[in-house]
Amino acid sequence: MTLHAKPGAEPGADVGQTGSGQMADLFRVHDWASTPLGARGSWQPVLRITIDLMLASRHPMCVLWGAERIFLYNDGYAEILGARHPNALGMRTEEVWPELWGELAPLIDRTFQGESFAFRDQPFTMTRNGFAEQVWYDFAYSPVRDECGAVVGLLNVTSDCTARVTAQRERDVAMERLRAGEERLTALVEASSDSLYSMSPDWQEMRTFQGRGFIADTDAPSVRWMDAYLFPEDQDEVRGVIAAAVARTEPFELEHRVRLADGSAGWIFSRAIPVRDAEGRVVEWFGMAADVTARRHAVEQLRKSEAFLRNVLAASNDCIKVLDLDAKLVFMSEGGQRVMEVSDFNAIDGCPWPSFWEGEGNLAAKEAIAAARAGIASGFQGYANTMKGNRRYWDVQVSPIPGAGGKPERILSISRDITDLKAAEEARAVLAQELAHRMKNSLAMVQAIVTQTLRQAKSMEEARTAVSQRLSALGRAQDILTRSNFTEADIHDVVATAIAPHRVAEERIAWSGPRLILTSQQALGLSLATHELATNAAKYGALSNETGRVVMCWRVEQGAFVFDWVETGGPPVVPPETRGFGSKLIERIVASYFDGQGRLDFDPPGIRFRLTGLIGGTVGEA
Amino acid sequence: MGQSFHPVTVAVLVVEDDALLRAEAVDLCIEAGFTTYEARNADQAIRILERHSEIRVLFTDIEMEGSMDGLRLAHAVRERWSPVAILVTSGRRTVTKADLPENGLFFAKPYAPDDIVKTLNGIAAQITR
Repeated sequence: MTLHAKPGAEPGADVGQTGSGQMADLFRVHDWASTPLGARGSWQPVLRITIDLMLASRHPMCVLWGAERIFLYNDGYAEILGARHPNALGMRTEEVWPELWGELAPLIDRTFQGESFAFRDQPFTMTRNGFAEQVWYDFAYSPVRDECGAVVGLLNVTSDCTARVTAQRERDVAMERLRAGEERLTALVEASSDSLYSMSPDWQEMRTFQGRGFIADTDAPSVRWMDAYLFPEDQDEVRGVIAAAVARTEPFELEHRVRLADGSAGWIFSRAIPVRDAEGRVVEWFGMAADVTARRHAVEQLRKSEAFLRNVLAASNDCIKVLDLDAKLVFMSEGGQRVMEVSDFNAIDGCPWPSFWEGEGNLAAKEAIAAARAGIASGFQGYANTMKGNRRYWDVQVSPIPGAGGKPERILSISRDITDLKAAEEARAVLAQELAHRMKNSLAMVQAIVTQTLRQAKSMEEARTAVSQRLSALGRAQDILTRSNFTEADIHDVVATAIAPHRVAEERIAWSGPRLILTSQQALGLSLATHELATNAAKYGALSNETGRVVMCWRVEQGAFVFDWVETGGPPVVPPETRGFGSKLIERIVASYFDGQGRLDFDPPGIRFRLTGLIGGTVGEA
Repeated sequence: MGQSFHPVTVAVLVVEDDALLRAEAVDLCIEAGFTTYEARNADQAIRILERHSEIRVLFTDIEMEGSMDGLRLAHAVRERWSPVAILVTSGRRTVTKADLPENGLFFAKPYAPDDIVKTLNGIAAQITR
């Protein structure tokens, strides 16, 4: 482009008048005559126009003119020059920028050859203020041509972009740092198995959830997250803790159940912190959740097995105790406290266990402890009182509880209350002894009956019959006693049983009387007496013919027992010449059992027998 | 039986609460030639002993009603009538030497009659020698 001067205008006359800046003044007063440019009046129009253009602009500009590259500049450029302003005006560029000259000269030369250059963010180290400073400039070199098209000058439009470049550099560094930080965070997240999540400030919306495989991911914000991750019955609890955390803006922390990726239930330990903006407002909650399902299950398993053991211990009626090696009580099962009638375990906690035992049990307990300490299990039985003082008999097992090293660490003692068993055993022993005694007593009676019979028998045949009949009568009486535990018998049963073998005809033998209880000896005695009387009646008396009768009747008269045997209708009675064992039995022995007397009358119409005495039993109701 | 002692000088006291057994024991002693007394309990026995100094043998059962059982009676007799020989019988208990007074003898029920007779004869022989 060719610039034309205004017609009529004097070249150089208006230089410095178009601008009101400092540089315009300097241009006016400068001694241009001493420079290669010559006096202002001699300046070519192109120079004047260029200078006017430059001075009018607020943009930093400089012009390099002529072969000497005379340095001209405006107010904007003065700032760039620093301390070199204002001396730089009209100087050779080489002198103005000696430190840059080597770098700039080629470009300047090429511009004078007609090229244009534009540079951005060019770094320069300047010493314009007496110290080195790093600056950046944008600049554009344009050739300025005269009317003939020859390049006579260079216009440099420039701007200091140091601030921008610096800011950009700082931003780049910050960005780099941020990126590195993010990479580290990403790496951390990758390395960790924990889930990450972010929530809206009020937790209504879940923004993201990285489930790390065990929980399903949430990629897009969702307000349905609670239904997705929590079982309905757990939601209220979680909601409550969230509400508290949000209300106080304090970290959220909760171990709770969640729905795992596979739909099953799992447990997480979740912790979230509020993220604030510059004004301190919560913009997000950022949280991590660790999968604690396995631990939770392990704990649950442990709790179940503990509950199981506790229930087993509580259910057992055995008294299960743990003692330390000094035999001091450290534990007693619930069931054990029940059977030991312990109302407060603290009262016996730490008590020496052997002192619970009396007598031999105390010694046995100490021995069992010594054995357990040596690693040997043992047992004993003994008496110990419950805490309420009830004496019980216990079967006790004492065994060592080995520690990690296999050595006895504690002692287990299990006691079972076998008082009832012991009592039954003792009762059985007593019964066995009683039975043996009764047997021996019976044998003694048999021996007496046999010996007595033999002593008075006229022949072996008679003796054999008499002995077997008498023993048979004794045996039948024993049957009645066996039914009543050997201690007593009803007189009706005794009479009926004794007479049964002799009842030739129902109507010929009759008996009547109240129901009375006889002692065992009275029962045996009356049986034998009845037998003897019946045997005699069958041989010689009322039962020896076809018509005789026997009547037995008994009563209690003013406390005295009276028993009568009356025979009628038999052959005339002839008193015997000698009294045999039968008579002795009837009159003396049986009477003795009743603490009374027996009298046998040989009345001619029929034998009569009367027994009077006391009965050991009580009068029956009938 | 040819006794070598005077029947009156050696008498036996049978103490037994069962009339049948007592009758048999008494017959046994009488048959052996001894004057025989009988009692159904310890109290009766003491009264008889007080009246009959010729009693030199006490033959007693243990289990009896009354103020004493046979063992206590045996000890009482040993103390009061020390020369009296003591024979004790029982179907219930096994009696050891320690339970008996010195030189006391025990016969388990049912006893063999011959053993009793031999023992009585032995005692009588010692007394009358």
